[in-house]
Amino acid sequence: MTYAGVAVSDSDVMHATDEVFELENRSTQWSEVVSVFDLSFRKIEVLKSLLAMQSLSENWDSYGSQPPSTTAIDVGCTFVIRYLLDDDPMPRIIPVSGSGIQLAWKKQDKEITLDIFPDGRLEYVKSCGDEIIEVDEQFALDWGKIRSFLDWVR
Amino acid sequence: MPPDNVQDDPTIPDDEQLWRRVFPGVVYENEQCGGGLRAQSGAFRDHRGPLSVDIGSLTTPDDVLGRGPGMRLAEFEAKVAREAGCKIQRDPLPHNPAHALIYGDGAKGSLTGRQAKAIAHRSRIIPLIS
Repeated sequence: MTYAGVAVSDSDVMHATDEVFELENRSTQWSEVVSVFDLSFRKIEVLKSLLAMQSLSENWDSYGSQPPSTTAIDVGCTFVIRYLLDDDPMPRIIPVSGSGIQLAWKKQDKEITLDIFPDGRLEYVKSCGDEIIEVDEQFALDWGKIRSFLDWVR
Repeated sequence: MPPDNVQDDPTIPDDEQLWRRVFPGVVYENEQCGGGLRAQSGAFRDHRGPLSVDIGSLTTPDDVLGRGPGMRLAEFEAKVAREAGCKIQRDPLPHNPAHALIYGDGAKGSLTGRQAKAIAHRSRIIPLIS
């Protein structure tokens, strides 16, 4: 499985303890461990929020939904680790009914949402107040696009 | 896309309040609806299909919140969903006669990101009464 050139295998494993966690990314092509010591506190907090979604119970939304899929959480972690810089605005994160995740940035009237579908697909919506400025239903993790939208809500 | 046989129910008036239990984590100040709080647009999406809501005139906030401990309650008028291009159908359930479904233009009748955001911006969180 590849997201914008980043290989993410189904064997991705996350370990969490109270004080430290590591993201191990193992595939036949490459192997990588991201240590908590290489990440800023702000990014660690976002990753903790994403990982915590694994622990949501069935029917967490009271409408019968399962928790976010492992694939959605993997894509979210990949986004945070690979595409967010330490001084970037950090997203607010909520689970979405039907095993998805939504990341959102807001500055005054400006708002960006990035929906991660259960199968890992991404949808991007940019709005200002009531006006929806841009929608990309097939958003690909692209460094330039991500820098552009983060600068917009910085 | 929604199923072809989905028709908007005209017996649900435009000013009917529709209620949705929402994850309490993220609410925003609502600049569009005279202050108060609103939910993030993800609260109005369900990737499995149409969005479940309750018809406000057929139930009470306590009844709705009683089915989802720890949740908050968001409300919006039926016309907000219609103006976003959605269709509303009654879908009474044995344990919840107020249940309705909102069909959007996404897969299996789910709301698109654009539709969810349009509703989120014109929704409000009902204040908790202790």
